[in-house]
Amino acid sequence: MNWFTFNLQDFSVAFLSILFEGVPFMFIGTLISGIIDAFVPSETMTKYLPRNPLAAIALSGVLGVVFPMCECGVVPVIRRMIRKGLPVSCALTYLLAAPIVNPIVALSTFAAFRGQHPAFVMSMRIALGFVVAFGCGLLVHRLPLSRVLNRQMLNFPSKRRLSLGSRLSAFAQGGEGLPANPPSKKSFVKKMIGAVRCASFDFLDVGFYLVIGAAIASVFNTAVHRDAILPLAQNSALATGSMMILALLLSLCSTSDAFIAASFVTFPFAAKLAFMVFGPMMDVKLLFMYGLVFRKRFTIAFAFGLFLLIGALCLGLGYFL
Amino acid sequence: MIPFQVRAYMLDWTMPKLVQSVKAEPAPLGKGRLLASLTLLEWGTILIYFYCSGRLGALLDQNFHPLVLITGVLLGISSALLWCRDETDSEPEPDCGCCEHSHEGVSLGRLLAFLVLMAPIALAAMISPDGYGSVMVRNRGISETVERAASGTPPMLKSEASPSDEPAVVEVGDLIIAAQSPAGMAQYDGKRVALLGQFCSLGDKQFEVVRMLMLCCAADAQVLVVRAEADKNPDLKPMQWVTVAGRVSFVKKGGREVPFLAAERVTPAPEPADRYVHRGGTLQSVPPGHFKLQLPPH
Repeated sequence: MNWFTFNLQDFSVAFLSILFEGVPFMFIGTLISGIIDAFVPSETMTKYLPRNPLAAIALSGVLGVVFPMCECGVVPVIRRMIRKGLPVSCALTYLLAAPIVNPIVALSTFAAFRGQHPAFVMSMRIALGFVVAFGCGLLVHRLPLSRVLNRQMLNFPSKRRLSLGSRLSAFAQGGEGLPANPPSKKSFVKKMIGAVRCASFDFLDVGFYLVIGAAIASVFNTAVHRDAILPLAQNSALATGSMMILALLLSLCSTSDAFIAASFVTFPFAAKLAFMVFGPMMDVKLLFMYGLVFRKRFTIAFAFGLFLLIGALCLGLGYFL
Repeated sequence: MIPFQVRAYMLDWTMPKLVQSVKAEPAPLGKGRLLASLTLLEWGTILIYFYCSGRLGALLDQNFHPLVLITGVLLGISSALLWCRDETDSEPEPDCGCCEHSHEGVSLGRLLAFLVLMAPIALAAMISPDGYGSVMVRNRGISETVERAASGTPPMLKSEASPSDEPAVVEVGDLIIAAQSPAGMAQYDGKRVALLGQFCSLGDKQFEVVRMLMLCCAADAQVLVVRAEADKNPDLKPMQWVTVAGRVSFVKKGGREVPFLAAERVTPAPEPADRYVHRGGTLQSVPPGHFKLQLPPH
């Protein structure tokens, strides 16, 4: 068996299909990002969050139920939200949880596992997705922002004479002390034009990383022989690890990955769960897209941390269930 | 770059209100913004082209098609809005994402970024066929040899068909699902069926009838195959559409039962309107004549 056979035409089909599936959602995300920028005053983000940071992070973890976003669209949205003053811990929690803890993904998971305890698999996926996102949010809450955000994101508030640090400390004090933006005198139409322009530049920023991620995912998708990983299914730890690496490389949308997971009938439940929780949080295209918000070192450490955390949790669950 | 006067003329009939401000402020657009506008226009055009030409069906599930069209149109509008200048252009740049730099200038890095944004999608759009080839099927799918029955002889048929019996038209997925339960196997075992699919030779008179199941997009498509064997090697191109009539049996493979077709007739078939089967009820029996198979007289 030859494990790698590249064909340019097959590659182009997979590449275009990933792009065409992701671009509408990414554009919606950037449009929301532009509208937030043009219409939402900075203080609004913190005004409606609970005063207790734990409660705020927990709330961010379930926001996807009301504002479902896929992993492509959520990156530009949280980038804008952070710039508008949303605490990074809350933004990260929403970033990780929204592609899993949302009704569309719940339904697709249920449908994919029909005949294989669908309600159980669906609830385990959502619960684990929330727990991991909440845990990561708590962790980031304790980290200095200089270790999390990239230089562009860190420098941004100073340009607006407002530091994220002051925003966070104000947040910790219940949102007091945040300077309010002066009300804009622009008309609605001009604000909308500004929002669309803003969305356009965001789209190009994020699109660059989507193209690179989609290209890498397409090479794996079409050129690597899947049977190369089948022997790994015999061992729980190897199976879980290999399924997470597969999720990383395939870069599937969270609404469809359950169907792929369900098709790996020889793999244990823990491995399939790990595939469905890790994939929407970290994949090749996201690895590049996260670079727009986070430091490279943080992104890589974060990917490793997520890999180990989700792997351990799934193996533990698999052992007890 | 289009001269200012031409641009103002072009805008005269499309956006009369904005033209005044364009005329009032004749500063040229920066190269950065021009490239950004062209990139959005290119992406929008490709999305709309794939939607209108019907090629999108080979890449995405139908549920996503309207979204692609809307995005294409919106990208075109966004591109036009980047072209326009109004009085807000004289103000400091809005908070637009990458704000550490102006959008008007073009550094080498940004030029490369635009190249990455523009070139691969255009090239892929030009060279992509309307479906996967046999290489991808091999990589993603089922390529081991089907284990024959314990005796090593070709699978035995349970019953001999009467010369007049017409094969039942079934889906590749139907046979795969049938193999998962004794009741399903009992329903199909020994029956004459006709399958529509793509031909994938395995040599030695064996071949696979391939159907692709699309979940959301072509990247997550799954390969459904039923292995078959004919009296002689069929002289067909890889991935050619065929109808295969034959008798079903089930054989062991990797500890599980899989369907096997003793092919009686293998005939080229026209490509169906939709190359994929889709989730949501497609892996169920289709009514006879669903695919309008044109089988030669028995």
